[in-house]
Amino acid sequence: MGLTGALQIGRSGLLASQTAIGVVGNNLANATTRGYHRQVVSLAPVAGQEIQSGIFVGRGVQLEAITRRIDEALEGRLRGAVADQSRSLVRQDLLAQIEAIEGEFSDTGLSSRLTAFFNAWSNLANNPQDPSLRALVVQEAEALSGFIRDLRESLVTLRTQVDTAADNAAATVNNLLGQIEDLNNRIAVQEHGTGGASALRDQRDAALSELARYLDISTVESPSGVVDVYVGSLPIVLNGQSRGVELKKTTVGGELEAQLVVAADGSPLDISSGQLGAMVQFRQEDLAQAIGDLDTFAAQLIWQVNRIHSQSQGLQSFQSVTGATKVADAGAALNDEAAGLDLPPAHGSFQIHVTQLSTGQRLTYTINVDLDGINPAGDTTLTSLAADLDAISDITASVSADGRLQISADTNDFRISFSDDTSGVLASLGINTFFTGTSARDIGVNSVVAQDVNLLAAGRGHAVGDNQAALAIAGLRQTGVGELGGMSLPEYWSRHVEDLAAKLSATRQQVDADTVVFENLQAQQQAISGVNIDEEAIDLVRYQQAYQASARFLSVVDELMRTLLAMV
Amino acid sequence: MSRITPMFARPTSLMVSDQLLSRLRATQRQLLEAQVQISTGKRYNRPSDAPAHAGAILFLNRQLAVSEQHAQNLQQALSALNNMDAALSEAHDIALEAKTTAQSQIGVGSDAQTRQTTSLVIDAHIQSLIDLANRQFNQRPLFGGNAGAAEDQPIFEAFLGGVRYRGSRQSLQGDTGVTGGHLIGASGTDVFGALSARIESTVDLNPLASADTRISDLNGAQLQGVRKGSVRLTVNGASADVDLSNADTLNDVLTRINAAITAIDPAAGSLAITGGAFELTANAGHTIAIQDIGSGQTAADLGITLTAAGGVAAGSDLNRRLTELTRLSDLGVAIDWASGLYITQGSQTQVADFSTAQTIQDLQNVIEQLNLGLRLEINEQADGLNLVSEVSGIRLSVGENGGTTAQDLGLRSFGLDTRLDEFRDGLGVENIEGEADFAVTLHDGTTFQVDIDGVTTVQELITAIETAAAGAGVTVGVDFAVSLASVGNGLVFQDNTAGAEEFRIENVGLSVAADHLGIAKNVGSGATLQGDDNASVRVENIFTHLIDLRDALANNDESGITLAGSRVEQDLDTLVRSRAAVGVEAQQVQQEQQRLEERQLMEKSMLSELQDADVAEVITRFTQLQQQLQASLQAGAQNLLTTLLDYLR
Repeated sequence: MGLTGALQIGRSGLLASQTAIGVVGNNLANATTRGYHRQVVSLAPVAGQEIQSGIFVGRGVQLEAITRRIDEALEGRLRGAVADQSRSLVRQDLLAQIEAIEGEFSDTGLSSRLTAFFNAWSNLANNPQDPSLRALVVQEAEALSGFIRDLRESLVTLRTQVDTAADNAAATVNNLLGQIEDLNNRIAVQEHGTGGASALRDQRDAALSELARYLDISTVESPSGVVDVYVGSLPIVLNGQSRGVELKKTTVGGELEAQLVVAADGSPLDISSGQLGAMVQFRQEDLAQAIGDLDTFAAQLIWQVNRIHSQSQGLQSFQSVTGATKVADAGAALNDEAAGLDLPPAHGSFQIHVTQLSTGQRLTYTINVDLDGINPAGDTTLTSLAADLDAISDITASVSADGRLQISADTNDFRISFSDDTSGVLASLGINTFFTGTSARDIGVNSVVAQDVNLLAAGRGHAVGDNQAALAIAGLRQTGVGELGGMSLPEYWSRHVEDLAAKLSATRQQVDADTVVFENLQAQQQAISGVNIDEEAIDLVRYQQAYQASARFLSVVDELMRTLLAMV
Repeated sequence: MSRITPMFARPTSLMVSDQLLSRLRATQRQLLEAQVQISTGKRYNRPSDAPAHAGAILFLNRQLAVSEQHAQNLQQALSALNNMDAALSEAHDIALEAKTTAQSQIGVGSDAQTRQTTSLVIDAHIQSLIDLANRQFNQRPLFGGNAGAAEDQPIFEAFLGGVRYRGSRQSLQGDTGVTGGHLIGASGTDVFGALSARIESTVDLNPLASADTRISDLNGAQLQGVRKGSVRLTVNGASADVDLSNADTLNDVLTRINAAITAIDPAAGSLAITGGAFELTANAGHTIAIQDIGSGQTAADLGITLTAAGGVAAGSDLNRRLTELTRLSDLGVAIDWASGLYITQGSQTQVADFSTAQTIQDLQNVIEQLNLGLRLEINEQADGLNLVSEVSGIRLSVGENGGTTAQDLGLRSFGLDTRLDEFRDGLGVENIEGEADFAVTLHDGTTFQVDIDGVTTVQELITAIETAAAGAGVTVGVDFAVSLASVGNGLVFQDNTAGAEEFRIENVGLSVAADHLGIAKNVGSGATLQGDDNASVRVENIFTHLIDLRDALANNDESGITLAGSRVEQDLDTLVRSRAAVGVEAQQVQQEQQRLEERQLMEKSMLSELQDADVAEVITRFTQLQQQLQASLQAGAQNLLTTLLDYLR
């Protein structure tokens, strides 16, 4: 080998060290870059030159490869952990919002207001004729019903916010899918199957990690370096091209339901993880249950109070009364769906009393409500009920244009009152009721009672000083309700609060568990792919020394050449 | 929550900073939690802080709020009872003063003029007592039951010369958390005996069930009501279960069972209601059976545990209860509705005309419309009627109006069943043992004496008189008759004999029985001797007896003063008993208050145990966390700052 060859050896050493120092510098520069994978220089000796038969001399060093330190399987598991952690974090935040809206364990929660409502009735029982206690009952009821409506409204608003967030998340997902598609193309072009486009791959991995925050994805890389992305078994990036996602909303049973689908073909995606998974699950299950529980609670509160109130009497009776509830089809049996009553009556009867003020004489009539389904033609409709009532002397009954029952005394000398309703038809039609509405959406205090507290029915037996109805309504706080699984109203709501608390607490634990998994996997990933500054500093020293050695070698070779040339 | 930091052989810069950040966040979160616990004093501020305890905390909070309301209600009840006690104490003082006054006016120590003047004092006492009885607490009558207050209509008021009670029999109970509650409004009936009790019918009106009878209005074949459920129907061996749980009327029972029979075999037969009971008919060649399922009692209660094989099987009596809406045509006894009742209340007499009445409520309205201070009530057994007077101090007489209405309804105050010891306001009819009590002399000179030893009722009295007449050779029913008055009340004697002797009835010897029976009369040549109604009814209470005393004083009637005085003395006992009952109730309320306080204390203690923060522990934890945070910051900062690069020169 000649001196020229030696110069080439020194040159190769300088170049290799420079490149290695460059890689170390790049590693140091990205020491805190999230998603960056440490690059490692692989040097190899250049194949030797045969100077004599069987004797070879080395020709220097060459750069074999600059590779990313990455464990693809670990990256996949990490993306799964990201999805799980994102899901539990979002769900935790959203459940906590429900808990905050409901405000239990405070003096302003539903439990406190319900207690205040029942206490107002209990207080009224002490002096049923006291107008201030009557007004207090109405005020507490308005506060309670207003709170229930606000609570539902807040939950619906939360649902709208979740919908907006889910829409934004879907847009972000589409943006990320677009980025992945772009990066796929660039990697394929740049690498030609060599796998060396580390920076682009890091960018794609970062996009995939970001995507995993929204969806639980899996990836499959083709030999060309292009990755396909799957949710479950459905591809959302296929052959490197984004197929897009879309949050599809449909109305089911009057309620808006949301589902994530593949934009390209509308296939529904089974998203059980990630932020989008959490949002859709929260919306469809947790929030729907919270709203459903509130509606059930409100419906039973309305129904149970009205059942008592409608067959009791106030300090005054009605000269005329109009049902607060509309019937969709006055010719349909009252328990038929066509009648449109959310709280339909049952087979039974009620009594209507007509009192003549001038004589004090009271006449009682029993009105049968035939809803047993036997001989359907004879079943009670709003029209037939009005006709039965209209047949009673001294009163007139009719169906209003908007489907309400109207009963009025023929003259100012007569008054109307009600009792002994085994059918619940009075409560169902909103006759002599305390609450109006059928759910948390529209619960309210009957304006008839609110405007004239003398019509608040606190007693029975037409004794103005009686308090049996007030006691019965106050007693509802301890009375089991069949429709609530035998629980009382406060117990039912308490059960809802407990369920939510358990769910939120379990989610918090899940967050901790997912975070531990995530941190462990992230630590593993860092252990493989992260940059250790000390380690890089050692490499830096190492390559610096190699560079210095090569430079010195060249200097020696240079001196040798000078010496040789001086001989000339 | 603290976490164990994962350790790996190759820590990297990002890993170190990430984990430091994670640890700092965790510590800061725990610090915030401790800070909230210190500032609120509560360990759990949201249900999710303690899901296992959330239910218990909510329950205890609810219980405490309810207990607080019950405590208020108990205090209200106690105040009401204290007011009642004070009123009854004053009533007792008035009665005691009246009794003393009565005693002072007996004998030579007083005279007519003084008694006349004293009667005015008693009249003032009566007015004071009315005022006391109308006393209110929280604008609610103390002694009106659940009747309530009306501005223009006091609970006790002067009426027809007496004192009328417009209140209710039903007392008012407050919501105090105990079964039945506690008394907050007493009934005037319980305290003062403000309603009469004697005209209580013993006649079972036997209302018969019909198709439109409510099942809830039945005592049932087993007298345990009707426990609604399903029954098993078997028609010619084929069975079907019939659900009667939502049946409201007997017609619903018929409809459901007949529909089931028809569904199996339309020609098999049917169920019907006849004579107040079900009747199962199986047509020839068919067998129908109805029975309960398992331990159900529906069929037994409805009296339809029957088997009919080619014939008729009759069910048991359903024992329908009398209600306001019971139709008079459904009553199982014959009643003379056409004649009506001849009612005398004090000085007023009116006829209750039931001829157009259709229901029990119509009868009640007729009585109400008389405006005599009377109530027609359904008795406790719900099989008959009671006529009740609301007015103290005046007399009530219920007799016939030419028919048998009063007797049929069992409402006659002077009837065949009326006991002699009920005459004269319960003083009874005195007789001389072993001697004749009164003598009846007819126009033909026939005289017979009647001994009423052992005679207890009006019927027995009539029999004794007729026996004595027959013993004297008088043809009873022809020459002589004795009966109850056909209009109004009293005994009516008919002398059909001829002669110059005056038709008369006189006491014999020392007996005053004829006076007491109201028959000591001489009608001269008249053929009919109408006795007085000495079996009229009145409300026996302090008002009545003070009115007696006032009138006796005004009339200078010494025996009347003595009698009234002794009755007022008995009323003192009644008032003492009423006051004692109020006292016992007040004591129970106080005991309940004590129990409630103890329960509240226990509940508060349990709640505190569950929810309150252990402040010392939280502060200690807070300090530890502060130190932990400080240590983390220092160690992290040092670790991040030191690298090999610092040592490269």
